Parts: sequence; C-alpha cells; structure tokens
Amino acid sequence: MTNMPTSPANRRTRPAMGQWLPQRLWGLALAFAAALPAHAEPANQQVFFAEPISGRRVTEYQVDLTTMDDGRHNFSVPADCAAIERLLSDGGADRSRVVDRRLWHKAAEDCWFHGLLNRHTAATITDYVTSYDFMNARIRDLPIGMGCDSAEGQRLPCEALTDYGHGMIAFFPFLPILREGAAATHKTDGECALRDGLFFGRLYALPDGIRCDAGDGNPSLRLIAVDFADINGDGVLDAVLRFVPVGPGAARSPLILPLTRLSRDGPFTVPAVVPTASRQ
Amino acid sequence: MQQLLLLFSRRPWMWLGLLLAASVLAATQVGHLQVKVSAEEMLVIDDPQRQYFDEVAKIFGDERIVLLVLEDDQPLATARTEALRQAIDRIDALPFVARTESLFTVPHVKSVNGYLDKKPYLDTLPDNDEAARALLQTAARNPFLRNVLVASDGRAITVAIVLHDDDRHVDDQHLNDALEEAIAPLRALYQRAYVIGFPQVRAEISGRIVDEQTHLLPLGIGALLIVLFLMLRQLLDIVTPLVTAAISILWTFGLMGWLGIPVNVVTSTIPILLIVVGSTEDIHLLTAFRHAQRAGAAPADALAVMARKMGRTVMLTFITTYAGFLSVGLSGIEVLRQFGLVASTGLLFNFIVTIIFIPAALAIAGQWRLGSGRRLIDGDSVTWPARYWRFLEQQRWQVAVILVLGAALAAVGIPRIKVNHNPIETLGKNSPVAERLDHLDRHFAGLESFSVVVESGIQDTFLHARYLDELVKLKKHIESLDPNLSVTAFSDYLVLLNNAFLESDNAGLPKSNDEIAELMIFLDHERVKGYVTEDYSRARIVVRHAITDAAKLRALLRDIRDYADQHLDPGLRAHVTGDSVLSLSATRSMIVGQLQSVLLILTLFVMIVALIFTDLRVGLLAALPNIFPMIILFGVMGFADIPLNIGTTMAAAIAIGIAVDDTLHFMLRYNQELRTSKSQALAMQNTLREEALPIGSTSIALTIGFLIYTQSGFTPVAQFGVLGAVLIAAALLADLIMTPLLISSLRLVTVWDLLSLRQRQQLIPQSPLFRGMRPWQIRKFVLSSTLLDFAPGEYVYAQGDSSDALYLVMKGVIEITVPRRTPSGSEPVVDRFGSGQIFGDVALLAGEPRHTNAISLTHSTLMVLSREGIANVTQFHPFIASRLFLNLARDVSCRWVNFISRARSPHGNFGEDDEQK
Repeated sequence: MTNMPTSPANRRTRPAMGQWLPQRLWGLALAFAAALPAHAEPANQQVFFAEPISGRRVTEYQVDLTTMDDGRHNFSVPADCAAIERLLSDGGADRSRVVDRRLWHKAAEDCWFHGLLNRHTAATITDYVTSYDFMNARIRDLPIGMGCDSAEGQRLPCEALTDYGHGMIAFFPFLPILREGAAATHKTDGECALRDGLFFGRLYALPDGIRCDAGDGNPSLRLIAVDFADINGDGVLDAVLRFVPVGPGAARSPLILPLTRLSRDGPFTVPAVVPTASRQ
Repeated sequence: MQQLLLLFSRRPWMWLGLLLAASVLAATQVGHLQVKVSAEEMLVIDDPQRQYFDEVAKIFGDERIVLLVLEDDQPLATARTEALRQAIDRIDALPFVARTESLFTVPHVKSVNGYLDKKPYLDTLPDNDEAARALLQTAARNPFLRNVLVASDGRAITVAIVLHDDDRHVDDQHLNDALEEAIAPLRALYQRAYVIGFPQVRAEISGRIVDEQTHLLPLGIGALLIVLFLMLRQLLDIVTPLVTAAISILWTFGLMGWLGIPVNVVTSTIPILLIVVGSTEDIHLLTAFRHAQRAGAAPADALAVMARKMGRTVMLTFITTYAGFLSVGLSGIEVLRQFGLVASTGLLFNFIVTIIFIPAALAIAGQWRLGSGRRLIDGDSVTWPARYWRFLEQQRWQVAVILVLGAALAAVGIPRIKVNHNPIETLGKNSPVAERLDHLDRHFAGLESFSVVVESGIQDTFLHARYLDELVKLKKHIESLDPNLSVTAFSDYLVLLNNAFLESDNAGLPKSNDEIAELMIFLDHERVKGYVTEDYSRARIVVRHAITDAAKLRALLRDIRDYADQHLDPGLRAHVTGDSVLSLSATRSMIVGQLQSVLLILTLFVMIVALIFTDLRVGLLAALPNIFPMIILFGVMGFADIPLNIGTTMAAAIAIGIAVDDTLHFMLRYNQELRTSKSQALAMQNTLREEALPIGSTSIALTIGFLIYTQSGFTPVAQFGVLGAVLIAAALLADLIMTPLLISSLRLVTVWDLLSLRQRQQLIPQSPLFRGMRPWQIRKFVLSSTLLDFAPGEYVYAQGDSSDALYLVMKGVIEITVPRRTPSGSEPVVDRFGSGQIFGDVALLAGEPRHTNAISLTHSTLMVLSREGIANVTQFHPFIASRLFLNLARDVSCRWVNFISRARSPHGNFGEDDEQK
C-alpha cells in the first residue's frame, strides 16, 4: 500500500471535496481510497471556523474583544490565540457583558479546537479515516451506544457519561432518544445515515438494528465540519466531526465527536485518550 | 386716530414719499425670501414629547429615506432586474445618496452546510419567473421586508434610498430631478416606477406655492376689483385698496426676507388675505369720505368728517382683526405661529399704509370724482332702510326662530368634526405625489410610523429570554390591533437568525439565554441599532401604518399604553413616541389653539364694546351675532366632513376677527346716530343706510376673497377658503339681521354720551355735588343718573310728591316756591337754581314728601340722581359716599346760612315762617 501524503487542502471537510469532483466520480474515488491504507502529514492543520458577525466559514477571523483596561482590542484567531488564552488566564478579559462574554468564549473555544487539531504534529501518521465519507456516514458506523449503556443494560443519560468539555461527546448525539421496541410500527427509511451532512429524523433501536424515522418536525443534526488530525498523539489519524443540532426546538450548541479507527475496515471508536486542553 | 388721519392729509406728498422710501427698502429684502417646506414645522414647538422623540431618534438613529417604487406582475423578471440593478448603480453614484437598501443589498440570512450565508436576496438573479416568484415569497416572509421592500402580494417592490445626513441643504427639486433621471429607463419596463419621499412632497408643495401665487393672486386682485367697481364706482376708491395691499404685501415679504422666515403652505396665503382683509378698512374710510362729499362737503371737510366718523372705528376694528390674526400666532404649532406673527404684522403694515395713504391720496385727488353710475347698493337711498327696519321689527320673532333653528341645526354637526393633521393630506386629491403616496399605502405599510420604546435601565436586558418574551408579547398585541400594521422589533432579527441556524422557517425565538447569547455572536449591532441600544437595555418596536384618522390613531396608542401598563413586566417601562405621536400632540394643540383664539377674540370684542358702552351686558349681547356664524362654521365642518387641520384651524379665528369689525362698525355708527337723532328707529334707519354699503361690500369682497382659496390645490387652504367664506357670509347675515334686532333692545347711548363736551368738562366737575371727586367717581354717578328736559312753567315736582331724587341743573333755571298765596296772589319764591346747582336734596335726605314746588322757568335740562342710584354707588364705594355726603352737607349748610341772611334782610321776599324743604 502506498502512503498517500495529504495536503492540508485535501484534508478539508467532505462537502468541499464534493464540490471538486463530479458526483459519479466521487463514489469511485471513495472506493479506491478505502482500499488503500494511507499515511498523512498533518502539520499546520487548517481549521475552519464560523466567523463572528458574518457566520461565514473561514480559516481565520478578526474579533474585537473587551479587556479589563476598558478597551476593545482586535485579535486574530488563531494567530493571537496565545494572547487570548493569556488574557483569559490572567483575568485581563472583560466578560461582564453577555455579548463580550460570548465572544471571549467563542474565541477561546476556537483556539482550543485549533490547538486540539495541531497538538501532535508527527511527520508521518497512519490514516484509516480520511477515506470514509463522513458526510454520508451510516449511523451504525458511528459509536452510537458507547458510554450510554451501562454494563447492567440500564440506560443512563449520556450527558452524565460524556462530558469532556468543549462540547466534546463520545457518542452519536441522538442516542438519548432511542426507544427500544417502541417504534416497531413506525415507518423506517431504510438504513439510517447522514445525507450530505444532514441527519434528519428519530432513531429507534429495534431488535434487528437501528432504524430511523425522517418525519417532519423531527430534530436533526448538521455535520458542519470534518477535520483530520492525530489528536491523541498515537500516530493514527483521527477524524473530528463537528455537529450542530438543527430543526425547530433545537438549541444551537456545537457538538464535537472525535473518531478513530485502527484498521481499514474497523469500527469507529472514540480515541482512547481524549485530550484535555486548557480552558479559561 | 382722528388727529393722525388729518395729519397725514396735511402734507400728502411728504407722507407718500415716505411710503415709497419704505417700500423701496422692503423691496431690497424680497430677494432673500425663500420657499421652504418641512414636516417639523407642522409640529408643536417645545412639545415635551418632542424632546423624548429627539432623544429616541438620537439613540436609535433617524435616516432620511426616499423610496423607489416598482410595480409589475413580475417585478423581478430578468430584463427588469438587470435594468433595476443598473438604475440602483446610478442612484448609488449620486452625491447625495449615502446608500440604497434593496433586495440587492439586504442579506438573506440562511444556513449553508451549517454556516451562515448572508448574501443578498438578489445576489444571483433569478433566471425564470418561477424562481423570481419564489424569491419574492421568501423575501416577503422576512418581517423587515414584508410591506417595506416587498409587497405582500409580490406585485411591487421598493428600493430605499438613504440620503446623506449632511446633505440637508440639497435642493429638493435638484434631488428629485436627479433621481427621476436615474430611474427613467425603468418606466418602460415596469407598469409603474416612481420615486417618493418627503423631498418629493416638499418639491411639489414648493412648486405649487409659487405656482399658486401666480394664479391665485391675480384672481384675488380681479375679484376685489370687480367688487370695488360694483360697490364704489370711483377710480381712486377702486385703486386705493389695491395700492395699500400691494405696499403692505411688499413690506411683509421684505420683513420675511430680512428675518429669514420662509414662505410655506400657510404663509403663502398671506398676500391674498392682505388684499382682501386689508381692503375692508379702505372701503369704510373711502365710503365715509364719499358720503360727506355727496352731502356737499369740500374734500378737506369730507376728510375731516371721515376722520371724525371713522377714526376711532377703524382703530378698534383694526385691533380686533389684528387680534384675530395674532391669536393664530399663539398656537403651539410652528407653522401656525409663523403665520400668526407674519400675517398680523402684515395687517399692521396694511393699517399703517392705509391710514397714511388714504388721507394723503384723498387730499391730493379726493376732488376727482368719476361718473355718477349707480352702485350695486345705493347707500343714499332713503326708503329701503326704513322699509327693511320696519320688516325686521314686524317679523322679529319669526326671524329669531329661524336663526335659532339654523344655529341649532348647525350645532348638531359640531360633534361630527374630525381632526386631521397629516401633512400629506395638504397635497389634495389631484396631486401626483399624493396619488403616489396613496399607491404606496395600498401596497406597502404607510409612511407614517411610531415606536414603542421598552426599557429597563439595566444592560443586557434584551439578551434575556424572559424580557425578549415580553417584547414579543407586546409586539403581538400591537399586531392584533390592526392587521394592516407593519410591526417589527429586535426579536424579529433573532428569529431570522435562529431560523437560519436551525434551518427551519418556524424555529422562532431562542428559548434560553445561552442560545440568545450564541446567536449574538453572529448579529451585527449595526443592523439592529434601530431596534435595540448597544447595551441592550432599551428596545423599540417600530410600527408603520397608514392611519390618517386621528381618533383611530389616538385609540390605538391608548390601547398600546394601557396594555403596556397592565401586562408588561414591572421591571420594564414602555413609552410610545414617533411622528404619529407628535402629530397627535399637534392635533390636540390645534384644538386647544382654536378654542383659545376664538375665546380671546370674543373676549377682546366684548371688552371693547363693554368699555365703549360702559355696560358689560351690551358687550355680551353684541357677541351673539358673532357666535352665530361660528356655530354655522363648525356645523358646516361637521356636516361637510371638513376636518380640523392646519388650514381650517385658522379659519374661525381669522374670520371671526374680521367679522366682529362689521358688528363694531354697526354699533358705533348706531351709537353716533342715537346721540344725534335720539330716536331709535331713526337711528337704526340711518345706521342701516350709512353702514349697509361698506359692511355689505366688505363682506362680499371678503367672501369672494376667501372663495378664491377654494381654487388652491392644497386641501387645507381650499377648506380654509370655504370656511372663511361661510363664516363671513353668515356674519353678514347676522350683522344685518341679528345686530339691529339685538341692539335696538338696548340703551346703547349713555347719559355720558348725551352730555355736551362743555357739560362734561366744566359744569359737572365744578358742581358743588361733585367737589373733590375724581373724574371716574363723577362718571359713576353720572352713569347712574337720567336726564330730563322741562319746558318753561313745567313742574319738576310739587308739594306732597314723594322725595326720591335730587336734581342737578344742567341747563336753564328752576324756581322753588311755597304753595301759599301771598297777598299779591303769587306763591312766595324760596330760591332759584341755575346751571351746576343742586336742589331737592333736603327733602330727599330728610325722607319727607316735598314741601315746595319746583318749576322750570326756561327750557331746562336736569340730571336726576335717584335715591336708589345714590344708594347703589355709595354702597360699593364708601370713599365716594363720604365725599358725596360731605358735599351735600356743605351745600345744605351754605344754603341755610344764605337763607338766614336773607331772612334777616329787611327786603327778604318770602314769608317769615317759610322754609325750604
């Protein structure tokens, strides 16, 4: 197998790739890529952010943050992340007002995420993840029950088990609504999967597997980014999925699902060691 | 005034020269005169609500916007959209345009792959009609665009052209022309394409003001000429009112130019008003002059007669008319204040010019008399006044019933009067700009707006879900009051943003503070600064509407205030402000101002009449013929659906100020006639004969003058004309019917008036009865007395008569005798009293019947002071009483001493036991 070094550009999220290749070629490319173990060089991992105010997808942004010297200073994320973290830890950040507090929070989270993806920059790492089409991921490929079912078979609130901070989770986020056997009569739409980054519907845990119901008004998840990096320094490339809940009644809070796998066709798992980056 | 009129006739050329010099000076300032129209001048000066409005405008911003309106079945068809983009580019390039807001620029906030996309709605032009229609439907779901930039039915769109704030000096017409040029290609592509906004309204009003001056002014002059020709038939008399009006207009415009007071819709009416109103005094003066001339007086003598007869009257009528105009200036509304001050000053100028020009011109050319053609009303006819007065007297009850019924009928209409203070209504129905505004109102939310400002005083209040819910609750209540309202608030932005993020059309408002805070990262405060302050302690709900009915709007605002008071969280306070609120405030000010003006004029009139006739009752009764036309006026307003507006609010005050003049003329003339004729019927006939012509001709001139305003394109001005004409016509009827009937029932001539000048100035003050009294104290007694004339040999009283009066001999000789025969057969004479002496006081004070006879030896006039009259005066004036009784005691004592002296005299010619009592 040939190690295929991937440039930062082609390690971008799948929707971007989807724009480069015609839809029919995309399937062929996926099949080809899946057959090959890959090696990657994740140095200078480029991360996409939602720019304040405009909400655009950018790799860096300017933000005005208020400081305790009663001033408003312009910072660039991620270039000024060190200064931002220093001000936060020194108490130099003025977060007395809601909007300022939220901007500081966003800048800090984006810096943390940027740090997460650039924490381990080994020259060559093994890649079993980039070949997978996360934008159209099958639900059963994702760690859907992990951390939510206790050893005794009792269902526990997933939130209690998976608080890594920074919105990082260890399970597919719609797990809490699984209703075992409750929806046997529900219409199911075949295999549950993300479609172009959007998961739409409810999940039902039936005896023959997971089924979903894509009825109107059901909560949804939008996969907004897939980043690849060795986040735990084990020499294996990880995928970091960023979701946001969408649909009526949803609360917009980013959910980060780190995934890895240790063989080409192995199951996706949450990396064994989840980094605990510094936080304000 | 009499002396002044004569003074100006002595050196006529010098005074005319002075008038000319002043006119030349004024002419140099006319060039500075500007035509300027602004919405602010329609509001109340120093309105406390204005202060809050300004504060809110400062906080939330206040932009000057002109709208480009485009209507078509498919406004976003490809060819049209491309042309529209080019037109907007041209508009954006104009120096006075700050920016444009349209579907090309307004962001369509949506989510694409989980990230916000704020590209404008028309970032990509729709390539087919279906896509265009869908885009319009999408845009119409945005509450900030629905009925603002996109019509609900999708058949019209607008482009908001935001003007530079520092370009307020840009000429409206220039701005209008530039915009019209920029959009010219759109006219061929859209069913309708036009630009509309306050600059267009102002440009049209300004243009029409100038236009109407050139149309209405000649009309006014022509109408006045016709009336003057029909009534006066003298070249000088016809030309004179026009000359005095022209000079006063020149002076007024010169003053306005010098002071920088602009011509606006209301002040533009001043020239015609000066022509018409100013002519009335000219007509009265000239008529008096010609009357004297026809009676055979030489010009100099006729001038003297004119000055004597009309001096005081002209002065008083000027004061009442001036007060009428000035009272409009007391209004709180700036445009009315300007009008009142300028128009009253113009009237003052007219008065000055009139009293200078007419005597001077008559002194020079008064002897030139043209023709002897018959006038429409021949004042010299002797028979018609007698017949008319006889008819009136015979039919007085029928006439009274008809008048009362008419007034009652009119009064029924008064409660129907509506108030309308919409500046746009000024334009009238035939105005192209008004038609565009009407079209705009039909497709979009109106140009009118108000705001409900909700505040807590605590920062970040409106980033809390709880308080945002309060805002939404209030907003929904407002929307429930009228489905045609466009109601937008800060919460709508959050809903838009939340919908975009959650990829839903009905995600609604975030439920938690955290979610709101998350959204705030992506919200540009610059876009919501019109809705929420930067510290989020104050938010406003903007309500756009097209409600023109003041009562409906007032009820709406009251409902909103009540709801806010009762249902809003106690931590929040709500205030309603905005153009509409200020307009309502101006409406209230108009109503109050209207009542104030009318009451002020009537009070002034009553006071003047009461002072002249020294009787308040006369003043109050004289007000009736002027209250009657006002009731008619308000009734016409109610029945004819003429609202109280910026024009009609002036009508009552101005017209009544003019109308009372005729009543004054009539009453003063009647007063004069009574003093000479001493017969009420004759005095009334003479008054009718003397005053019918000037009152009739001035009233007709005024009615026609007011009717000229009906040709104005400005609705309030036209309505002002109708109402002014109605009031003057009704006042003419009242003056010729009610006034004669009312004043014939009063004693309009006082004892004081009947006394000759010599009697008033010499005889009375020197009488022992009034020794040491001040003139007003003497007048008090005189006014409570009566005058009696006695022929020679006539008894004033006889022995045994009750003693209820004392007598002051004004003229003649009175002899007091004892009713007892002397040997010679005659009655012994006790005393004789001549002019200035008093008698009859002893019996009066003793309270006994008369013991003597009082016989007039010559034609005598006695002033009779009754016991009751003396009691009345002394009861309320103890100082006068003490002086009176001291004088009486002194007089009786002197006479007693005199009597004793004469009794001791060997030649005493009366009985030893006689005494005068």
